[in-house]
Amino acid sequence: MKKKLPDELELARDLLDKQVVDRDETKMGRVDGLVLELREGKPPRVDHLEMGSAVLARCIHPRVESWVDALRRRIGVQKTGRYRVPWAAVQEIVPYQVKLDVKAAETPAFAWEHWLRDHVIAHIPRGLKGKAN
Amino acid sequence: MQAAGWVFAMRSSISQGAPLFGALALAATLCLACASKSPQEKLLDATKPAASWIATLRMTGERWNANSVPASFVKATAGKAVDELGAVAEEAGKSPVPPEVRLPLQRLMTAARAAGSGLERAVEAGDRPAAARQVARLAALEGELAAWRSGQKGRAP
Amino acid sequence: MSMKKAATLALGILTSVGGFFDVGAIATSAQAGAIFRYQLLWALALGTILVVFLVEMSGRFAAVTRQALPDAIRQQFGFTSWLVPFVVLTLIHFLTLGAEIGGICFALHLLTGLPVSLWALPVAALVWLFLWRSTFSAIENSTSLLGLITLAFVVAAWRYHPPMGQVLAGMLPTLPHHEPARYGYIAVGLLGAIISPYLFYFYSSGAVEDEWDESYVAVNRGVAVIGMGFGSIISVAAIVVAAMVLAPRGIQVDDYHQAALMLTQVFPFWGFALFAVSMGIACVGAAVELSLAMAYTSAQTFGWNWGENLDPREDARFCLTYTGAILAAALLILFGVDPLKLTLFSMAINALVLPFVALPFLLLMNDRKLLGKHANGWISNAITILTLVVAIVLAVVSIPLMFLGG
Repeated sequence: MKKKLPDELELARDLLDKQVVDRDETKMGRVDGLVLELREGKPPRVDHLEMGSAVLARCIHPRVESWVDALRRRIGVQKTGRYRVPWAAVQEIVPYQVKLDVKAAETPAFAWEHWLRDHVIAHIPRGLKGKAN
Repeated sequence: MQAAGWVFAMRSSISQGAPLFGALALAATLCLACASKSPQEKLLDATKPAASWIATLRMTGERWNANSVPASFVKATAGKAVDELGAVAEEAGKSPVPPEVRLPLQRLMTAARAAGSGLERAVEAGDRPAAARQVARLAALEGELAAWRSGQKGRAP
Repeated sequence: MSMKKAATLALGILTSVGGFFDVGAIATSAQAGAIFRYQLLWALALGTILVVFLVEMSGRFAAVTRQALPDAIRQQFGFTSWLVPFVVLTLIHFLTLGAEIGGICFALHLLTGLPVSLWALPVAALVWLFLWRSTFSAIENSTSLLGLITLAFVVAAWRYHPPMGQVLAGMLPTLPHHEPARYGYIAVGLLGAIISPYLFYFYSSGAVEDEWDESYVAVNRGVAVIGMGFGSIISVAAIVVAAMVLAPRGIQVDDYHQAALMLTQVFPFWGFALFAVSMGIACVGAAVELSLAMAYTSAQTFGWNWGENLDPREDARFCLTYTGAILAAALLILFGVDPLKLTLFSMAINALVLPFVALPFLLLMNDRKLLGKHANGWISNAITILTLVVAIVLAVVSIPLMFLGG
């Protein structure tokens, strides 16, 4: 798949907190964190993107992250609060979104989305589902 | 990075600004609360909504007679008015002002509440003349309350 | 101009009927007219000018960047800067939603005689169903069409032949002859009711739902003026009617029942119902905007899939956010919270958070990397800075005035 990436990237401005979409332009989440690889004698490079509640919780405070982790273990919908996106999956970076070469439904990013769809929305009576045309 | 500088400005404005607003607000409240009112002025203030409710009852009765509002509305409004007038009567009872000042007010409130309840009953029975009588009573009470208030205003420092 | 662009007027009027003329505007306009007659018209005029510009900016931003405001705020300012304002705004929107649902319930109470709290759950169910089943354009068109009924206030005001000299004089700020604390409190309430953050978040998200692009920038200007102008004219009319009906009788608006008398004199048979229906529809518009604004803001903050044109199975988190918001807000009314008190309280708190909404707005609208040639000119910037100043003043005085004049 042909990649459309700019020549230069300002991490905080062009990557962090950007909307993430999948192959079909479905919104998946936001770039909540970046992990850089530190190499001896060479400049650091972006190893992978991170998305998820654990990442956001850590932004607030590491202790908040442990509370969120404990909560997630209790509720158990997501296996992990930290979805790692390898750099190789990044297909396109434009001013308003980052496009990944994945399908949202197959990633942990949609864990809650699917759970709510299957356990809550599915129970809403048939006649009320869907948009009236 | 322009964004980073502005982000810092925003974060510090949030963390510093909030307590600053709180302090200013508290200071303003205290300063204005220091200009406290005499019991006479407090009672005078309490009668403004009372005058408003008596006028409301009067207009509600008039409008019901003119077929502009339904009976259920009169019932709800009268109920609210009677409660509010009762609260003013209670405040008058607790007030340290001399009896010759607060007793007429308490009588007025009792009379107004009676007129309000009377209006409610008349409307429930569909009795237009009775409702009209209560409306006239309320108009008279409005005048009496206005006289009491201007008397108090004359006396207040 | 194409049909689609002409139809964008619907977004403007919907935003206006729910965002400008909502339960807060009804309450404060009625109070302003009843106690101070035309003296507070300047607050309405000031609020109108500010909100027309702010709405134009919100629309321009969405048209050029194809992003709604909460989306851009998370992206440009980051999660930690946005977190506290986001939480506070969500709380305020929740309380305001409660007040609007209370307004719908009160309107139904007027029409049926049944108690306000009884209507809480049915109203919540109907508002929810409306959002669940309708596409965005269906919501826009139906609510703005129904919203035209609020013109009843304008007709009433015109029929009263108010003294135009006094009306125009009221457009300039003057000091009150009596009750200065109450005057200040109502002025703050009027401005706070008009300049509401949910209005801008809703409008910009709506522009994205309607797939605006750069070609809509010109039309957006017209929509902002006509749309907000519509809401403003209705509010001016409400003040005038209150001044001509309630003020001469000495009726203050301490309760919505007193406001309900406003149209009964000039329209002896229909006046009562017109007031109730106008209030009900304005509050439905506002409830729709608020619950959607809360869902848009949450979804865009966390990057979820969102959109009223999507089936709920495709954006479960977005849909369940507005569902939860409506249900929780309805509980406030179910458990007997007084709608008018809830309205006034949420407006006071709204005033507190306005500066933290105005500042990022100012920064975003000047970002040339995002907006290019459509970034703010000096007039728009002057207005935004004025808004920031007004917001700071409101934030400082609203709590003391709430105790002194409320």
